[in-house]
Amino acid sequence: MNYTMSVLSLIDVTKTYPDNPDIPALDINLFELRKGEHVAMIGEIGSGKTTFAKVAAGLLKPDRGAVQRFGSLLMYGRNQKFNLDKQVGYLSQKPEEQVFNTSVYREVAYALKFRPIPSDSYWKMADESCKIVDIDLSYYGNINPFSLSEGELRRVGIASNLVYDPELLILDEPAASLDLALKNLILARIFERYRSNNNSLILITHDFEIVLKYFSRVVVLKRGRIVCDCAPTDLVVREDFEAVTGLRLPFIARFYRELMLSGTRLKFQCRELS
Amino acid sequence: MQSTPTGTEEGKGQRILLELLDVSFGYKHEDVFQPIIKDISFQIESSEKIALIGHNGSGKTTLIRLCLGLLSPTSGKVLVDGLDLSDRKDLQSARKKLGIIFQDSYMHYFGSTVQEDVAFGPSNYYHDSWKIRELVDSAINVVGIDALRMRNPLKLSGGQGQLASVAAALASEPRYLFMDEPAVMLDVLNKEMLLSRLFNICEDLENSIIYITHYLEEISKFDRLLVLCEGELTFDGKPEDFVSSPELWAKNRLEMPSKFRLFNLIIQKLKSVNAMPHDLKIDDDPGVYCRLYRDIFGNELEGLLL
Repeated sequence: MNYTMSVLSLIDVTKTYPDNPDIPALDINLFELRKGEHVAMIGEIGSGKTTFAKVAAGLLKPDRGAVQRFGSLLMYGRNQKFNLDKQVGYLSQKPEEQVFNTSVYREVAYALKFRPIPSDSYWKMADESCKIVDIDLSYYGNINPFSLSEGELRRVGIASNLVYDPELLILDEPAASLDLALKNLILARIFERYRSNNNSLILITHDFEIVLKYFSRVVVLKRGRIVCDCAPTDLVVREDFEAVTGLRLPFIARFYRELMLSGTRLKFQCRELS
Repeated sequence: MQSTPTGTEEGKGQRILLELLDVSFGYKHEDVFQPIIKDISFQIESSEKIALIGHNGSGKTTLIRLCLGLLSPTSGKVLVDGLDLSDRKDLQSARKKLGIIFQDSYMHYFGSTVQEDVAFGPSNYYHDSWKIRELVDSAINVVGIDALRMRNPLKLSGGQGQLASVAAALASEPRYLFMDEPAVMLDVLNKEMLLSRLFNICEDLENSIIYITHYLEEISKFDRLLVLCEGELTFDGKPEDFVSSPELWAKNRLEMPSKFRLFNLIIQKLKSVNAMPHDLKIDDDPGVYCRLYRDIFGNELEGLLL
């Protein structure tokens, strides 16, 4: 497959919610994601990040505009069955919204049923993806997902996406309610896996440290619009960062910024292949 | 009744408010008793700002549920202003003093507008509609969500929803406000704003805040830190003492955030270069860190701390 192939493009997409009719939740002229590209998405609260994720995942129909995935237009309603949905994974920021099976094993292996995979390899595949998120399937396998803690449920949600290796994975706040050690461990494993099989990834987060650490491209949303689409290191040193993004940098990024502005030569170690 | 000294209370004459006495809790899993909370004792006095941290699955949420009387301890006692939570009558009156923001706060809305949702707490305690209105207004103002007042809480974004549930918890002015990661979906600016506003309220109303967080950079702003590790209370003291000890972090299976690593790096270097007393505080501006860093390391950057 061609490297430059577009995995996802949003063209002239708008979405407005009925209970907030004055301000569009999403208003995007053009967004494009290529095969194998990893992009982080940040923005202040209510800036449209989750709406973007839902539109990109095909869960929400935009008021206007076209969403193209893997070269074909996304369809809604009765024509939905023609979409190539099996190639796209989505993790909601509220994992309770998407978990519905009665045991962790069933939840993780659910997506495999719809794919040409022999059922005797379900357990092995489920176990493998559970290992990525540090869930021991032999212990958790029969437990009802709704009796898990928030952090465990989120990890199960991630595992149920990773199990079928979607070509495009959209993760909405995957690291919320995980402690720092676990967060770093799990995210590193996911990025590693996605880089090695050259699949695309969209990560929505508030954590600019993750963005600096793993990404070579960041998209900033503000009031539904893309206000910035560049490398995170270029974003950090911008004088008008707070005015443009409406965000505040975390401490360590502000420290690096001070260093760079005072003339220290600093090369960010970006682990993303570009 | 014996009270257990924890070594952190200094205020004499202050009335001890919330008290945990040798509290243990566990579940039976396949006929084996699995302890989750092991023999925890501590006291919370008025206007204390407490951060509670611990690795995933260390029992933080369970501990909070025990403090609220939502779970009964398998052994030990929880006393709120002398009221025993295992006593049903006492529990009723103690509940008025307790406030909670759950981890999955977005699952707990029931009003059709944010305003209605915030008014639910106060309208259970007061009949005077003027008073209710005042409480709702002040809670909404404090959190700064005036623009969301008439929105449907279920249609809010993750971060907006979290702010709405903070307002709802504040409206009934609880004496002990427990917050289970109220800020996970907030950006840095909103996190800092929320925390400073909560601290202001805490000082004004003399109530206490118990704040669970995984965003560990915040802990240096609190008066007191509780650390849970595998169901045991392993640390109870000043956050600064915890921050400066990498061994404690490792022992509690926690990873140090980059800010504290930087802080410790600078302090260590300062100590080894010369024994001069340093004036760096954890909560200093990044500019201060930067100046010191350049003084020590010059124009070379020694590895990245990310």
